[in-house]
Amino acid sequence: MSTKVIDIIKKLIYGIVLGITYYLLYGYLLPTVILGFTHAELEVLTLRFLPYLGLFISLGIVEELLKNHPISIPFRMLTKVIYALILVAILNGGIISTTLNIEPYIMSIRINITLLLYMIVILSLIYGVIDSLSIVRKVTRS
Amino acid sequence: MLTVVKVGIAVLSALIVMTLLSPLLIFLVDVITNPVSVIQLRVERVKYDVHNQSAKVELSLTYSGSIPLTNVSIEWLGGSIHFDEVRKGVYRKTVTVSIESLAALQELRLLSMSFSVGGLYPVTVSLRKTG
Repeated sequence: MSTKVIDIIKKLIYGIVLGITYYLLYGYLLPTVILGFTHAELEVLTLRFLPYLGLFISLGIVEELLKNHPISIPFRMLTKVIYALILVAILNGGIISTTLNIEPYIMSIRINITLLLYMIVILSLIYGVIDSLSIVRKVTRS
Repeated sequence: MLTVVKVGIAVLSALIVMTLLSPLLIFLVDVITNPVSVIQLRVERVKYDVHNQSAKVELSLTYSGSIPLTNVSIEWLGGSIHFDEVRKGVYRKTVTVSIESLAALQELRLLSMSFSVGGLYPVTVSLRKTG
């Protein structure tokens, strides 16, 4: 097998690992921490949004395959924002609702966490810009 | 150098998110450990005005949570009260309500409450009596 094929396989594996890592961060860890104690509802949410794992892995693979190409500069920025927007989608746009049954009352609770989600989107964009700068350096060197 | 900046940004982001999230998590812990008495609304005294078919009601709001609540509004059938900020303690207010509205308030038939946890997270709670 030529070194080029081995290199592509390595990039594919690294891309899959990268996608799974970002999925665990944005698709599982952050919703778990944000929703805190409503774990039962979170399980339903995570299962419902499991198809996003495929998207995360695809983006991770594309990110790795295009690593030294100039197109990866805006792409890396964009992927971080996409990850953050998927988190926003998982968390219902920042509106978390739950119903508690405390006899003889039914209590409906609605919490608005959009401020926190906006902050995560902005921080992800900043991280994406820094990540892209490392590619700018690589591209200008080669 | 950029790797150090990237790690720094990631750590800083985690710290910012945790700091922003902490008031909500502390509030949720307060609610879960003490669901019934974290916020309590009581009718303390009622002074009836038979002429106008109304009553002067002294309400007390007791809050035992550790995170301050802002813009606290409590509404019930035919009446409402508002507090700019509520910290741990007891707050009293006197309102004039109609006799029908007083009955709804005393039985907590339909009550809705809105407030902001630490001024960051708007929360709406509606309480409905079953049966």
